[in-house]
Amino acid sequence: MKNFLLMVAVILTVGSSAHGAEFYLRAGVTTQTMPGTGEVVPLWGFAQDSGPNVDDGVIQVPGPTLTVPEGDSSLVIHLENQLPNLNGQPTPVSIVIPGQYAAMVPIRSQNGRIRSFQQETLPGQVGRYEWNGFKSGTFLYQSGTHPAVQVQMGLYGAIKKSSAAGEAYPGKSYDREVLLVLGEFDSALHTAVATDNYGPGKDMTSTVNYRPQYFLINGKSYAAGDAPIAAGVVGEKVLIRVLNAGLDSRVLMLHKLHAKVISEDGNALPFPQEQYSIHLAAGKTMDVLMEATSAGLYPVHDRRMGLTSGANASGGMMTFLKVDPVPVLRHPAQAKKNAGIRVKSLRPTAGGYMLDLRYRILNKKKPGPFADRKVPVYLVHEKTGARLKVPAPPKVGPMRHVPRNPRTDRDYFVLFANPGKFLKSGDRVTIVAGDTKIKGVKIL
Amino acid sequence: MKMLLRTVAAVLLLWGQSSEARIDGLTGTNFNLVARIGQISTADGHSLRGWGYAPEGGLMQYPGPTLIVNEGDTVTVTLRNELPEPVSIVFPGQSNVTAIGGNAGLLTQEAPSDGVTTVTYVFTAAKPGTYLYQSGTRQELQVEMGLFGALIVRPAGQPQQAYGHAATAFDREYLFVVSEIDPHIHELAEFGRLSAFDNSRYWPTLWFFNGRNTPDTMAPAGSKVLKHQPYNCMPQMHPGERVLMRVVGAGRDLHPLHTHGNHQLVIARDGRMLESAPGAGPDLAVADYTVNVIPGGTYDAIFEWTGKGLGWDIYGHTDSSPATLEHHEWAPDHGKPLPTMQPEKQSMSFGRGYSGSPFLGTVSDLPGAGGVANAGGGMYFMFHSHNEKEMASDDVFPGGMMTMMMVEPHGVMIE
Repeated sequence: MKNFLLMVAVILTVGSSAHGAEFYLRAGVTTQTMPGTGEVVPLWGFAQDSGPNVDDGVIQVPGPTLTVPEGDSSLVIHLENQLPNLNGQPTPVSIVIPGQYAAMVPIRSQNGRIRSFQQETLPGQVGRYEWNGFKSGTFLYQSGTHPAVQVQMGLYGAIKKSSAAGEAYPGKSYDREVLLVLGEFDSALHTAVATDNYGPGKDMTSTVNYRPQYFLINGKSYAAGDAPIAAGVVGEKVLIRVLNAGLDSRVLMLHKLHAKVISEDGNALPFPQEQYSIHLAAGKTMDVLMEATSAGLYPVHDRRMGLTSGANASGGMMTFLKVDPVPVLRHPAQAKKNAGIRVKSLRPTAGGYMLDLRYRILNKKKPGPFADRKVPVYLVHEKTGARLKVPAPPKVGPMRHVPRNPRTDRDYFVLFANPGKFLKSGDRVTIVAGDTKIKGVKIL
Repeated sequence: MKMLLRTVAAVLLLWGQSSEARIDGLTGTNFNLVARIGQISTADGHSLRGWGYAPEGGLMQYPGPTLIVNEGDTVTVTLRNELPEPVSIVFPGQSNVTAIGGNAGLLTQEAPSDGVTTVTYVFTAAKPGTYLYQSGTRQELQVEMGLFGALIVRPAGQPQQAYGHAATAFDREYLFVVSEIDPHIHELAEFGRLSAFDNSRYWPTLWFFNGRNTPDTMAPAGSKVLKHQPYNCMPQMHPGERVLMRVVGAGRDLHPLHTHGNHQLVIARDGRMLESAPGAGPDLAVADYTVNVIPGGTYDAIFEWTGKGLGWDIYGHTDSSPATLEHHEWAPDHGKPLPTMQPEKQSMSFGRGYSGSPFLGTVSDLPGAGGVANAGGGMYFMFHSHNEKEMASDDVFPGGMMTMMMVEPHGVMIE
């Protein structure tokens, strides 16, 4: 049997590409103690190990978030099966990623019904699953075997790929990323499975009476005092990847703002849709761009009222996104070393056609190149290499304040021409003054 | 007889009558609300305990009062609480809401149940549209009990538009606040047994438009027998008018809102036009006859009807002369006959809504008491949840989330 499986695995590895992401996952059992009730719910989940049969990862629900690097077009997952037997039979497992293409080898039971969408990995085995031409976007990976039981027991996780650094899909850039995996537990069903009391002739014969009592975001049912999720600073574009791993529709309600839905199921929408009530059918993934204009806590929760833990303790699918105020830009290491300045801000001005740099001189005895009229100062757009120069109209000269008597207690400015409003808030530049470079300065 | 009635209708015809059908609600910029208990009357004869927002000095109502403000207004809502647990208000879709007073809750400031302390919520209604307000406290219980209402923001200077763009202009507007009720939860509230509330066993058996089940949806607004449910859901129009449907998903379930007679052209979601770029107007509008109502979400749709697409003259003209064209009649079908033979009346049975004639504006004799509900000879199209069991009130059909869009001939006055 093992040799057969290895042969099948070998056949499926035809055509692996030069660039590939590779992960070692393991399906096994764990438990979670729920807030409000203290109930211990048995779970089946994935762990990420550092190698085959190493078993150094921790089983978790949702499973570990996998990131396929931007340039990689193929994905290989090695899956080890440590699931317990049910009804005296070994429990096979598999992995499918709805929305990503893979050659499927469905497995049928003896009565001809499909038991698994994809080739199975038996307990004690390590199966190999491969995808080529991996699309960018946000997707769920989950068991493709007996999914009515296995997926809701917890065998799911998020897998994502950006089209480029800081870009979710071509043309859709972001500064920060947040992941929200929505899940549910029916503890009665979980307990029946965990005590081998599920199946023909057992106490629970099917999942037909599925009734979740626990609702989770990223595996947590909300409890007072839970830490908020970091969501960058004011003005940043925050990409929220939302996945519904549960079995029912959920509606993610955002408070205090609208956000832009930019994709569904890993497909970029041609036009963003501004919403605050985001409907996710079971298995759906959506990418949402949030841009907060003020700092604070932004509540995010399920409006289908999956807001309890057990019968009526408040909790469930509730969390807060924390947006911090804009920090004062400092580049002390570079500044002290070379440039002699502390950058305070770089902002669009004049309708966006110029950029306004404000800085302070650190040591008036050693003011550095910025205080030297003869040293040219310009910006380099880090992504494209484009250079922005200081405009120098004939009667005025370079639009740059070069202090004759540098002081440390006042702001100085330099203006840069930004023809065609080429650079925008969020773009990163390097400020060049002679031989000195200050890298990674973000336009506010 | 038919000829006589048609002449009468023609005489009553008021050409170019401007339409004034407006949504009932509270206007202004300052609203004082009280959260208090009341009874919700259901069409199957039940009376259920409810919790709702009342205007100060008024009765609890289900849904809460519709607040109607103008774009740019600074809106102040104060809340006092007579319920047995703390309550609050959140305004999804509004940014920069400040809340002062009361005690800090999970989402916002809450009014304690002392009946005295007030919380003041202030926000600028920055963008026009259709919105929801609801309790932000223990939503799984309090929204179910009835603590929600609609908020309408009219575009500045353009009260006949939904969104400050000509393509959102309307002749009449109707509100559809969609909700459902699990009566067991309301019984637990009435008998002080909320400790037995089990959110995982939610099982609604009653469905509502604007707080009423059919046929109460079609009863008069402000009816004394429905004193805690002042709003009805009684859309009416003349052919050719643009009707704005403001749909608010106040419950927790999704509902497929189905319009007979024509598609709904969805022009906005969650208070934002479906537009490709700012200023483009609703160029991404989608026409469909079944639209998903999203819990917590809203949508706006334009509904129109002229008889276009039927392939026969809805007025029953026997000539095709343009001189007899009615206001907004679909000209290509003018004079086309009904494509069937009408059976003898003796071999038919009639509902209350049949006028005695298939033609718009014509009333004809009927045996017995038929036609009592259609004196104008209108055409009625059912607007309802297409989740069929939701058209029942606790399994009693007709019931639940259903009403009729009444298309009346131009001679018939609509409020």
